[in-house]
Amino acid sequence: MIQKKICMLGAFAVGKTSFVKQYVTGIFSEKYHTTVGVKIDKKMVEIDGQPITLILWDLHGEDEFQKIRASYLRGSSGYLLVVDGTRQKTIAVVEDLHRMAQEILGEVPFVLVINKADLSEQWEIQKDAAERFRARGWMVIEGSAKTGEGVEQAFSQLTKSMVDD
Amino acid sequence: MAFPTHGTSTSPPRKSPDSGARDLKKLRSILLAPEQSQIETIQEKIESLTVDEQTVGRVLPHAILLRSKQDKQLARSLSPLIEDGFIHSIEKSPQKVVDAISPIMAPAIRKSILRALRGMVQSLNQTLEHSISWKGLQWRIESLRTGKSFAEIVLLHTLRFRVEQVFLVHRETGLLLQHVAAEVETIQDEEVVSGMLTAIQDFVRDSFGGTQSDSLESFRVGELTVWVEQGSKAILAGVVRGTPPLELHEVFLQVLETIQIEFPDELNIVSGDQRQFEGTRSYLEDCLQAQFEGPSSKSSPFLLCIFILLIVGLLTWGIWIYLDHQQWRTFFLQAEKEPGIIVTSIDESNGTLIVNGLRDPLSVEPTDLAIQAGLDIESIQFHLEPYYSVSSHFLELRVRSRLQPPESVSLSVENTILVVTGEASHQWVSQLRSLEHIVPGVTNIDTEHLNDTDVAQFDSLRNTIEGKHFVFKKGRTRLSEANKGKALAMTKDMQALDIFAERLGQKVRVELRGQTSQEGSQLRNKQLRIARAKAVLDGLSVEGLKSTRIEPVEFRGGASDHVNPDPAALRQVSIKVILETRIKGGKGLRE
Repeated sequence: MIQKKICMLGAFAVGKTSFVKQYVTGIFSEKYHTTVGVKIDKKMVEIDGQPITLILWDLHGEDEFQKIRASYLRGSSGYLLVVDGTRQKTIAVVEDLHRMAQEILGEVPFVLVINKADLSEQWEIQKDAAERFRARGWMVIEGSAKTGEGVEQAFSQLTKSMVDD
Repeated sequence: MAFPTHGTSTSPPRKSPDSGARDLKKLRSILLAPEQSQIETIQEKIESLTVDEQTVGRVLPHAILLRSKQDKQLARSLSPLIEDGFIHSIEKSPQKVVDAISPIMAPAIRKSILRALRGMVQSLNQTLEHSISWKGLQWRIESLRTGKSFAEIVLLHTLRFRVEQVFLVHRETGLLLQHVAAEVETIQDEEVVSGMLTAIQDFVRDSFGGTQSDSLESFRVGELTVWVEQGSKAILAGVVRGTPPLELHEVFLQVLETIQIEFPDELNIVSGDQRQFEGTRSYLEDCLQAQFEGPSSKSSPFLLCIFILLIVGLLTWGIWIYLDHQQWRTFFLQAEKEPGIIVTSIDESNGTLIVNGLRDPLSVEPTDLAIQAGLDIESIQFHLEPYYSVSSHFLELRVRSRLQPPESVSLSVENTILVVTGEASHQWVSQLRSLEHIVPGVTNIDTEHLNDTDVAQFDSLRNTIEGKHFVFKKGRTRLSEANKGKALAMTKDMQALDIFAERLGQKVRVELRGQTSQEGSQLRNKQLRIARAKAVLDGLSVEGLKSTRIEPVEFRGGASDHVNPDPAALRQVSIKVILETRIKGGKGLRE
């Protein structure tokens, strides 16, 4: 059995935990976020007939009061950057986090998720923002943790990239 | 997503002027002439050298050895070839492979079986050891109370420590490399737990300002202690139930170091493939240790004596209780069997047992039963109310008690009917009839086979008397000497008859019937008949008879009773005994 560690990165309240919750059924409660700063879940997937166990590290959202622990990032095979489409400033946070991840992990696969696609009419993020990121070579998925849109796709694309990497 | 960078650097060849080149060539030949010639010689040798199989075979082992010392690249390169070769060999001739690996596998299998058997025997020993002790009894009660199995309770009480699970976790990534567990319930999602374990390690280190080498070494959760040994590449976490000895740290550390030494490449580049760490399983299993409480130390002689005395006391008390119980059981069984005694309840008051119930006065004394059973009658009081038992036994007893029957009479009760057989006096028979409804439980008396001896003797005397007659000669009325003797003898019979008549309560009339032949005149014959009857009466000395009256009467019926009557036979006095009252129930007594 192959295991891969994936970190969920993003600003506070962008929907990282909801995104993971859509994907797995965990054994730990969410209070771990406020205590330890991370909640870990597991998901078994199969890529090209090969079983893979994804260990999902859902890190506490970063804001002006709390920074994520760099040590939690170590050993990740990939990461998901999550932004809230209705909050423009969350893009700046993920850009910082992406830089931090690159420093710690080097060049590893990642996917940018623009969450809250179900509230697209309230988005502050420009519609061409996704294209701008794609132009930089990023993998970008617009999704919704509420409806489940793009959740499976985000994780499967990231996993496939990690396996191929 | 990779972002490869490309970069190359090249430098163009430098060209010297012709003159300079010549000078340089000269200088070189002056300075390096001997070396130049040597190089040329070597170059010739190299160009002429042919790499044949023998040469390669000669240098290959040394070359492999040299390269393997430098790095692991050779091993990586050869691994696919060796794997393919091994698979091919197994497919082609499995027996050879079996023969080759059996010296390794057989001891490994034996070791595994031995470990399993040792565990089973240890578990069995513990269960047996604690099953028959006082402690075991307490634990069995606890098992019943808590619903846990007895083995589980024994384990909880005797366990000093047991390593239930061991996690080998990659220090940097937190990925679970290997996990082993004892034969107990393991936690789920060990991969997630190992991740969380490293997260907590990092959290604690960051929170309390520790250095990279500092780490969370242990923590307790209820009955479980988690010991964490930190290596440079991996973390070994052991989940221990109970209180582990400090020496266990050494075991964990030694195992961790061994793994780090034997799997350096796998730990350096973690691909996430757990199969790479399959070889660590046997090392981690060495950490699954357990220690139970040994058998209790020897008791002191004093305590042993007390224990023996206690046991002897308990045994004595038990035997005494048993015997007392048996005595009471014997008493109650006897009382139940005994007719006429019914025990309804037993109460205890101030150390005295009070036996309540019913008792027929004719039954045996209950105290006798208690004595027979060996009970102390001083400690028993009988409150038995009297009652009449209607069982055959008691009816017979009651009838005998009332009637006092002679030995010639036998009594039995059949379905409330008293059956009396044998012989008895008229007085006793009369008394029997008068008691017919007096004895409770007797509804009727059957006397069909009971003979009244007085009636029988009365009838016998009556027949004797009536069988006698006094014959007279023609025309005579005086008793002959023979008749006088006969009359005297009959006097005694008459007196006896009177006695029996009186005993039977009868009035008897004895007719002395004077008879004559048909010859002679009627008047004369009448005178003769009366005279002859009076003569017999005069011949009897029967004074003082109480119940018997003797009357001389003329009797004319005798001649007509015979077809050809003999005149001489008709000249007589015959005797007839007549009952004047009927005897009640006088069976066999003629009128």
